[in-house]
Amino acid sequence: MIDRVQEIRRQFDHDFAAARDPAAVEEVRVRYLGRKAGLMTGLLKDLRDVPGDRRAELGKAVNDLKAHVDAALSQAAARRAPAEAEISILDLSLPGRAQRPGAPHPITQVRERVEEIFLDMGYALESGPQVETDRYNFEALNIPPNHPARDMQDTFYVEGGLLLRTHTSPVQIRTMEKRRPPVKMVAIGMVFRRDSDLTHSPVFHQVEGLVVDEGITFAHLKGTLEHFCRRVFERDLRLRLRPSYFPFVEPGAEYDISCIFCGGSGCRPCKGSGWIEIGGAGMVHPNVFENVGYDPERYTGFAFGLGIERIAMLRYGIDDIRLFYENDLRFLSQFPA
Amino acid sequence: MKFSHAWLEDYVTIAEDPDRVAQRLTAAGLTVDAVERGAAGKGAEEVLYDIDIFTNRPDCMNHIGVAREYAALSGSALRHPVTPPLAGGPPTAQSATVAIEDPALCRRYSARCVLGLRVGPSPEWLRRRLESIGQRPINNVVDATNFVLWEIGHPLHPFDLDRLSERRVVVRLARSGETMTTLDGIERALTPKMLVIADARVPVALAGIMGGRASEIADGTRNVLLESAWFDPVSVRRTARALGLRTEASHRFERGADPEATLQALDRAASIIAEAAGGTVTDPPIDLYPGRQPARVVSFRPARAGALLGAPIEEPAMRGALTRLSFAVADGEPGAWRVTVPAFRDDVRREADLIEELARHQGYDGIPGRLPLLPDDGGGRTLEERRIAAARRGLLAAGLSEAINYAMIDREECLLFDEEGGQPVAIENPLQAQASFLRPSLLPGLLRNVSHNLNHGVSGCHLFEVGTVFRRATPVPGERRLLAWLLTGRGLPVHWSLPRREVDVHDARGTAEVLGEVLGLPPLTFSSDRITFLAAGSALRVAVGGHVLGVAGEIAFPVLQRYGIDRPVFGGEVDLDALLLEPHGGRRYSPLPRYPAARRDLALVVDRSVRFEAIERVVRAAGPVPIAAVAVFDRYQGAGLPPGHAGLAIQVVFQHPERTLEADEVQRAQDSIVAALGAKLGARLRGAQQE
Repeated sequence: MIDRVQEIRRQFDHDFAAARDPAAVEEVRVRYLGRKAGLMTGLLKDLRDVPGDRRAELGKAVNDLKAHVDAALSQAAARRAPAEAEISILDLSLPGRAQRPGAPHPITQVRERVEEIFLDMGYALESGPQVETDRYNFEALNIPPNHPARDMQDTFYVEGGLLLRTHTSPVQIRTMEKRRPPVKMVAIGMVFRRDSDLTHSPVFHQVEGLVVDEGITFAHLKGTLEHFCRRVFERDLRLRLRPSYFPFVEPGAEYDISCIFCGGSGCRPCKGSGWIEIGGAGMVHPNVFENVGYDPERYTGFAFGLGIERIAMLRYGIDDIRLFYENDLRFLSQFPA
Repeated sequence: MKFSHAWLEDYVTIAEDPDRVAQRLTAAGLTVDAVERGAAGKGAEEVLYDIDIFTNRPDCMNHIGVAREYAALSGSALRHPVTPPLAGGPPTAQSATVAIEDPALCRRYSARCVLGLRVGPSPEWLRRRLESIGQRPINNVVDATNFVLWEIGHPLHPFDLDRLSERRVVVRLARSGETMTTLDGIERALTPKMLVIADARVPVALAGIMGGRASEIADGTRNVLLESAWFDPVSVRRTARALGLRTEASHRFERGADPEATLQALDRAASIIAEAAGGTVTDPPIDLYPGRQPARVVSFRPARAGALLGAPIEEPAMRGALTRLSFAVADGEPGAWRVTVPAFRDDVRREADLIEELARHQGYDGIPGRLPLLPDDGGGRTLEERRIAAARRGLLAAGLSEAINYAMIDREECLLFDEEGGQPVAIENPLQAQASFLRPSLLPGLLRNVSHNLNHGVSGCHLFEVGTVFRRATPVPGERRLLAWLLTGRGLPVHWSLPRREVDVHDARGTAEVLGEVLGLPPLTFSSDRITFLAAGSALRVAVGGHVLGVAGEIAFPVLQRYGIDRPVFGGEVDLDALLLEPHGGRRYSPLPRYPAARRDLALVVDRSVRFEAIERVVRAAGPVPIAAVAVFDRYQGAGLPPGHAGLAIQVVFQHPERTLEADEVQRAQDSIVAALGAKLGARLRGAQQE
């Protein structure tokens, strides 16, 4: 019987090779696999009569042949072009089927981008609590009680003599307290100010950066901000630092970028100035170093801050900060990666 | 703060056009927000600079201060106003007496009187000057003091001398129970922490903040006492804040007035009053100066400036810049200078402040940008942060969108979602009542979002949030990161080829399962429970490894009502921080099975009360063939089944790690499963078939 199996295989290969069109292939299929008179079908029936001790060996041979025939015929079917009638049945203008992913929040997207830029530069990501003490939020940052600079940051107070952090700068202090220089960190998180209008939200997200070591200079601050702004806005923009006042830095600065809309020639978003304000920065105030036990003679450092919402508003052209917190799906779905 | 270009020109020659002036000032830290041009009448142009003067520069909150900066920057000379000598009048001490009871809070008090004057409108030039910067002229006495405020910067106060009991001025703390009606007509209750100016009997002014109505300059005023004093910044600030007052005077005293400037301001105002209102100026003035302090000297190392800025500045340039900014420079220790700080620059206290002076005077643009070369901190994202990002990505892939909400909600919402009945953390000075407590749960914020979306015609809503929640604790509230989700409307995926399906409680549970799977946690377990904000019968506790870490289910109807939501919402919330502490279920590779599995489908008929988890337990315990998986592939009720029964189609996957299973041992295992299901759960077989 094993001879018969081999004979049928040779015959099939011959017949299959000779079949040039779909009709001929179908003929071959019926000849070998036809339910009533198919050669393979007969072979399978005959297998039942084979004595048990030989059945296994033969069964394997027959099964192999069956697989060979099936594979050849199904390949032939795939080669075959579909009939006109079959094409018109499928309406391929219909939307396709897939589970669409949800929308990532634009704040998360900008936040992750900012994190990546600083991680690429070898910064550590740090974090701190949102309910803070006066010491971390103000005093250690050289803002004593009753200092007029406190007016710059309208504060929400929490029972128990605590407050909601008004900036991520407390993370500077917490980080310096737990480690020695060199320090190279960014902290990104939610901050709170008692303020609300089109561009001010009582809750927003802030980035705080801090670099401390021997020999850190204002030029390093400038180079770092330049690099960051170019990468986050993905263009070759100019950076401008202006003197400003934040009690925890000296010299202090605000930094602007050349307007990303007009390139600096003056337009409505930059109020004709050609510059767009991004954030505050400066060299760490020696009083701050003294507050955390760093020697201000030996170490210098720079710090900077910026708002995630501000970057997102500029990047996506959003004009109302409150949109970020309504979580309207028609808004959220507009910011693919 | 508004400054007039023409007024500045009284003190410095400005050869540049206003835009260039604005650039210069901005580059030096006097940020010009706008250059405003308007008609000044007679064809002349009025130019105003709107300058943001920082808190640390009260010396620039006046025209001479700005002119001084501009002069230093442009190299022009500063011209001080000339006050003619005021000699000739009777001594001030004959007209009034002054006493300072609290010299710590009032370091200096200077005064002159103008006797026999006539109160009336100010002369044209004075009115115009005040109007040009948006100040309203009042009368020739008050206007003179306001003019000096905007010229020299020192706040003055004029009293009607005849209204001061015994013509006496006492600088003292208020006594408990004292009250005073301020110029704005409001009667103020004073406390013994507030510094006041009193006459022989009662308080007549809030020191450095606002005068009293009783001694106000009125049309009939004939004799005036002019006060030019220095008050302690903290004291002024505390009192002003306590009374909810904020005036031009308090703004300046809070930031630090110049005690050396009291006489100059006093003389300037007295001279203008005498010119505008007539009268005799008393001379000499009263000048009590118990708190005189030596000029501050700061040691400055020129080399340090270059080292901090990263760009060297030539020593002569530094010396020149400091001198132009009114600092006196002398040689000190080797390599250091002794720099004497003018009294009006109380903000300059140490070397770093002088370095800023130099940097801003030169302009920050002159400093090159350079990247620091520092070792990689090596931190990168922590495992925890990476897993949170993975959780977020997993839910996004499952079709949920990400929400971010304020951390503040209202009290009622806190109580709704706080099962433990803990006290929420209160904000003492909220902006609105609906944001007056710190959230103990993310669900209130997400419900607000669902409500917003439904109200704006968005029908399907699948949202999640990763955020911090707060719980009262001592000494500081506990903060934890939670992850919550809410689903409503059509179930996912949505496609024309699929039957329309509304989300239900299984979607809520499924989201938790996705989270467990993407985080590689051991299988989550779910147990029905009563949960206040979830609907009875659709409320699950979510646990991992025996630790309850969250909930899932259907939001209870009364809760939805509170948010104005009229359709079912499903969701859940888990403690992400706790979840991340659970042992990771699969960080080691397990070899792929080498032998084929055998699958058997069983169509069971069971009482509806029999739960799948019970069936799975019985199947797995039936033995002896190892089982790789038990899955449900259909569940139905109704036609063809006895009442109260459900049809449950399950597939059992048998797999032995070391050999191919024989057909008959699988059959025996299947038979024992069926027998066990019948005996323990009363399940019948509708038919068993081999795949």
